This record gives sequence, structure tokens and C-alpha cells, in this order.
Amino acid sequence: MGESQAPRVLEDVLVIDLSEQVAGPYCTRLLAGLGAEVIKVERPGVGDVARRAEPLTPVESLECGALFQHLNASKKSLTLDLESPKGRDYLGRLTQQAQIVVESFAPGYLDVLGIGYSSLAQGNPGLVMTSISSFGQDGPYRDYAATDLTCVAAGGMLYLCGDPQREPLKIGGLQAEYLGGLNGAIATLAALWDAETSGKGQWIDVSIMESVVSALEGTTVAYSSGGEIRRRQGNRHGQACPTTILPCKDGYVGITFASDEDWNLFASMSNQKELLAPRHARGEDRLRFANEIEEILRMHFMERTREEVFHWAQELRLPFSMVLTPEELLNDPQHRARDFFTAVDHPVLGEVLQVGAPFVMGETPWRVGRAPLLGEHTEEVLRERLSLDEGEMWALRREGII
Amino acid sequence: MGTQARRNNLELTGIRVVDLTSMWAGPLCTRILADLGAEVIKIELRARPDGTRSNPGFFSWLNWNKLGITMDLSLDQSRECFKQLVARSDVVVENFSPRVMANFNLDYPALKEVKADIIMLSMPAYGSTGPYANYVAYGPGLEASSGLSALTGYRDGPPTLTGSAYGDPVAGLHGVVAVLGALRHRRRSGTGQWIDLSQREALSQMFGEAFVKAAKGIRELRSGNLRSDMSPHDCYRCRGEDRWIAIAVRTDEEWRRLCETMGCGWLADDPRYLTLEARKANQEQLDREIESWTRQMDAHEAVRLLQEARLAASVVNNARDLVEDTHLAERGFFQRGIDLEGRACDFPGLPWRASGASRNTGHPAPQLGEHNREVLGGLLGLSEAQIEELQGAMRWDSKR
Repeated sequence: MGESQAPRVLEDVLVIDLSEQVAGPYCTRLLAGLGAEVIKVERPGVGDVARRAEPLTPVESLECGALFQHLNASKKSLTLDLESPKGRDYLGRLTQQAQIVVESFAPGYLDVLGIGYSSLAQGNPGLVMTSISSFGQDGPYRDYAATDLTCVAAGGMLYLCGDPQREPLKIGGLQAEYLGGLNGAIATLAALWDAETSGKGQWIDVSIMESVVSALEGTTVAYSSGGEIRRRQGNRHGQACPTTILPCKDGYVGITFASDEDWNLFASMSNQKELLAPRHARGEDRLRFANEIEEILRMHFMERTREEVFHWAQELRLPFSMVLTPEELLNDPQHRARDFFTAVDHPVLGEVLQVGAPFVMGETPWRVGRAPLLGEHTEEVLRERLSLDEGEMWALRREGII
Repeated sequence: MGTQARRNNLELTGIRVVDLTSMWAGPLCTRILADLGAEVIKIELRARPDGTRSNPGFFSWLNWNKLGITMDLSLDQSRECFKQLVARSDVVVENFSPRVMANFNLDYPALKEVKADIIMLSMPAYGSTGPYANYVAYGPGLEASSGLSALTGYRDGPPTLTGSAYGDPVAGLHGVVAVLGALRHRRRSGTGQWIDLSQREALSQMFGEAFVKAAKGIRELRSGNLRSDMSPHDCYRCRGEDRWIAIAVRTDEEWRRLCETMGCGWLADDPRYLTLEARKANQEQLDREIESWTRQMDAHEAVRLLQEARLAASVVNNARDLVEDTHLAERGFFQRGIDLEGRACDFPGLPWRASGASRNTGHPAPQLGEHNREVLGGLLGLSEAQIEELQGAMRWDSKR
């Protein structure tokens, strides 16, 4: 593979990943990228539900999911039936070797199986176990049914997006779940740091709903201190007017004005006399005349391309942006210069794109790899980690345990 | 340092962070480090303090548990002082555009000379290399340039902003992951490092599947609240002004339960809605059927009934719903504190609980320069006269 010899942040860390779908897998995607050996435990013959979601091929299969390919990069897949006593026994032996367990089952499920935190930590007191769930491990909503949509609703993000005259609008993708996974990674790394200091592990209880609330722009703070209930603003943002997305000759541009100085600079440099009117000079006033201002800007931008507007503004240090689609971004000059996307070979799907690291660390490279086939590493893990021989594995296979 | 509560069971006790960031992404990153027990020293320019100070509640939330000092890095004396501070610190976090620290002669190579194992996190909008390195963006602009806006919007509408400046918290949270990783590497190897976090690249992680699809020629269209594998899957209007609930039905069996809960069991046998494909094909009629029930219902009552039937449903919570939410209250999620002007606020806490650690949440955000004497005198050993001189040298000092 020609992998770099430089050390990785978590290269000596073993993570047993019992999670599926999005939140838990995003948490462990980050840990795998940082170099941990992540063993993803999946149900024999079925695997992670996300394996089939958002298919990349016309024929559905266990290896077709786009979401799965992104979220499970650089992990190993072990099939193991946790509902069988033998499967649980092997899991227990594996977690004895692990520093971290991540799971996203319904709260209480692992305890019912007898493999909750207190059992897994027996004999492995430094174990960090991270449980990610929609509402947390306790409280009145603990057992509520949820999806990403109902979690962005519960967390207050849905209410803030979209047209005030229409229904609230979901942000693209599965943001509640990703936020849960991202916070899970922070909590896990903090607990690992602590365990490596004190020798004591912890059980981490991450709430996806709370992850959404804590990503809001202080809306609950504004309500509790001043009684303000922020509402949807249409395609606008906050008080820094105009902040919006407007059409131009060949697409859309995003504009923001952080200060009145920026506005005055823009107004004078764009040769739009109307914009220089004193009634537009102050942010509060621009909010009042937002429709009028946006109309003038729309006419101005419709004569120009995205690239023209973007680069012209950036030369003036104005934080404008181009609205780009994922397919356009595959050839974005900045992404290309930073090698943000790479292609990895996949035995079933051929070339699969991998999104690069969320940050570039000078000393410890990010690990780029592909997602595993279902059960691809079962034999390797059972042989190397648990010293099972061919006969034992054959028996387990026959019993449907692996 | 006496002012910050020092509890033994905070993960990052003993780690010192120098924080040059302002606005949201950077301050959130260092605030979480402070919550975890790090001592965070926030540096502001007296003439141009953090822009969020004009929004006292927001500022206070993002900067609690930090110490605040003022410095003007364009002055030689301040830079000298800053270097002394770095020499006694573990982590430096900044979110200027890349040329700023280099112009101050305070980029990573310079700081490394002062403290060999320093960890430095830079978080410019587009990253520190490449043709856009010096381009600037705020949260909403990052939504557009990352591809998120193209995926957000009503089916018949334009690309749409999230209303949450979403690029900011996402960049800040990834910054915490990076710093915690770098701290571990330093403990094992003795080596610090520089981290270049492009806020756009961080945000791109959060919908990476769209790029995987795009590379295979699969184009994702804006689809409002709809989802290909669930129906119904949308927001429905309830009684009262701007009250809504979100409902997501994952199986045909759940659809039947939804019909029964709404008191219209006959709909479950209506061939127009029998299967996922049928429901998607008749989405608009279906939504009208559901809304004719929700419109008469109180949002909270409707969700209670739906959850009793084990259906995924939630009130589309607004800020008041959240502050008054019994579940969040029972979990102790909000931290009661005061803002810069002394008003009581409910600050969102960390979204996780740890069995073995408490949270450092006792200290209100610093007033501008509140800890100058303590940090410059107590930590760096400057005399009273030197502190006065340093502060006096700052331009426009009299303005405040």
C-alpha cells in the first residue's frame, strides 16, 4: 500500500465498534482516521443497515451503500452474533484487549444481553465505552423512537431553517446523527486521555438531541436571557445583512457582510450608486430594506458569473462564496491543490472516492482506506486476537455465530 | 492560578491553552477544552475585542471558564510577552487567515523555537495552503462553498442557508478532536505539531456520502424533508402559531400504526398508501391526510400519542420548548449561569455525560482584560509597572 511510516495518533489503540447506521460509525470513522484499529462487529449475513442505504449500484447488495463507504473507511469487519452466548463470550474476550468500545443500540439493550459497561469493564478497568443514542441513557425520552429527522426537530435545528411562511426545512444530509458521532469522538478521546493518566476508564453517554442543541447559534441562550424566540429567516442569516444566497449568471453566490465597513467597500467598489445611499449604510437599516437591497444585488450578479463575483470579492477580503454542488467540488481547484479527495480500490464497487481528513496534522498522518466487506476480517481477527483455529471457526460458521 | 476551579476529575487539568480566536468556531473549540479542565487564556485586542461581545449571552456561552487578557500582537513588547506565554503553554489555537500569524512572525516555526513541543491549531476557512489559502469565509459562506447549501432546500426552491451558520460549530468540534489527538501524540512521542484545519474540509465530512455518490455519477437533488427510504417523512402543522411536528415512518407496519393513532384506521388499507412506493407516489395527498389530523392537535400531545404507538415523531422544538423541556432538565443539560451583563441564562452544556468526570462550568466569561494582572503578573512575572506599560502602549486604548 506504500503507507507512510510516520506514527499515527491512535495506532496502538484497539476499538471494538458495535455501532451501525450513522452516529456511531462517524465517531469510529474519526478514530480509524487517527490510526486506531477499529473492528466493526456486524450481524452475520446482515451487517450494518447502512450497507444498503443510498446505493451506488443499480443492484442492491451488502456492499452498495454510499453512506457505508464514507463512514466505515479504514475499519475491519467481524461478523458475530451477539444474541448467542458464544458470540457474547468472544466479544467479551475481544474487549479485554480493547481500549475503547463504541455502541449505538437502544439504551439498555447491551445490559439485557449481559454485556453492558460494567460487565465489559470487569478485568479491563481502563476500558472507555461510548454509548451514542438519540436522547441519552436516561430521562423521559430515553426509549422514544427517533430518526435523524425527528432528532433535528427535537434539537431545535429544524425550526430555524427554511421559509417562515412554510414548513421548517431539514438541512441536507443526516446532521443530527453526524453531530452525535462527532461529539462522541471528542468524549471518547477525552476519556482515553484520562484513562491513560489515571488507569480508570469511563462510560460515556452521548445524546444526539443534546448534540444538536449545543450546535445552535445560542438560540436557547437568547431565549433564556431575553425571551426572544428566533424563527426561520428564509434564505437569510442573522443580523449581518445582507447574508443570503443569490442567483448569478451561471448559478448562485453566497454573500455575507460582517461589518458596515465591508458593506461600504462593496457598495463603492461595485459601482452601484443605489447601494451607497445613506439608508443602507448601517446594518440595522439594511435589515429593514433587505428586499430592496437583495433586488439590486440580484440584478448586479445576474450579469456576472460565480467565479467573477467570488474572486473579485475575495480580492477585497469580502467573505463571499460560490454555491457549489458535490459533483462540481470533485474538481474544485482548492480541494485538488490539497489532495482532499482520493480514490481507493474496492473489490465490488471498483474505484470509490474517499473524503480526506477533517484536518491536516503535521506529524501524524490521517489514514485513508476503504470500507470493509461484510465479515472480511472475521478469520483474521478470530485467529490473531482470539487464537481460534480453522476447525473452531468452521463450527462457529455452521452455528451461524460468525 | 487561583481563579479557576481545579477539580481533580477533569480530564485536561494541567493543560494550558492560549486562545487567539474570536467569533464562534475557535471559541467553541477552546470552550470545550476549558470544560474538560484545560486552563484557557483568551487574548483579545483592546481596540477590537471579539465581535460576539456585542451579543453578551452568546459570548458568555462560548467563553465561560476562560481567562481573558488583552494584547496587541502588532507591538514588539506584546509579541515578546505572547512568546513567554507560549513558552509556558501546551496548545495555541488561532483562526486568523493564514498570513496574519506569519506577518506577526508568530507562525508555527516561530512558536516552535519558543516551545519545542507546542501544539498549534490553525483553522482558516479554506486551509493554509492552495490557491484559496487567504480567502475568507464565515459559517454561512462555508455552507455554500462546501456543497451543503446545494443539498439544502425545498424541492422547488433554491439552495438554502441552514439558519444556523453551521460551518462554525462543525469546525470548532473537529478542532477539539485534532487537539486531543495531538496531545496524545505529544505524550507518547514528546513531539508537538501544527494542525491545519480547513473549515470547509471539516464541514464536508458531515455529508461525505454525497461526494462518494457524485464520483459515481449519482446526483443528489434538493428534496426538502423527503427521504427515499421512508414515507411519510416531513413536518406537519399543528394547532397554534408556527407549531409543527416531524414524523418519520420507516415501515408499512408503522404506517398502519400511524393511521390507527390518528383515528383513521381505514387509511391503512387504502391502496394509495399501502407500500412505501405507493406512499411516495401519492405523497401530497398523504401529507394532506396527516395534516388534517395534526392541525387539530397540540404538538406535544400529538407526539405523546405517536410515541405511545412507538412511532418516530418529535415536536419541532423552538428555543422556549428546549429551555422548558423536561427531558433536558432531568438530564441536567442546561447550565444556569450569567452573561456579561449579569443576566441569568440557560447555557447548553456538553452533550454527553461521563461516568467518571465532572464538568468545569463554574466561571462566567471574562470581561475584556479581566485577568491581565493575574496572567501577566502571576504567570509571566511582570511587575505592576511593566503591565501598565504594556497595556498603555496599546493603540486606541482610551477608546474603551
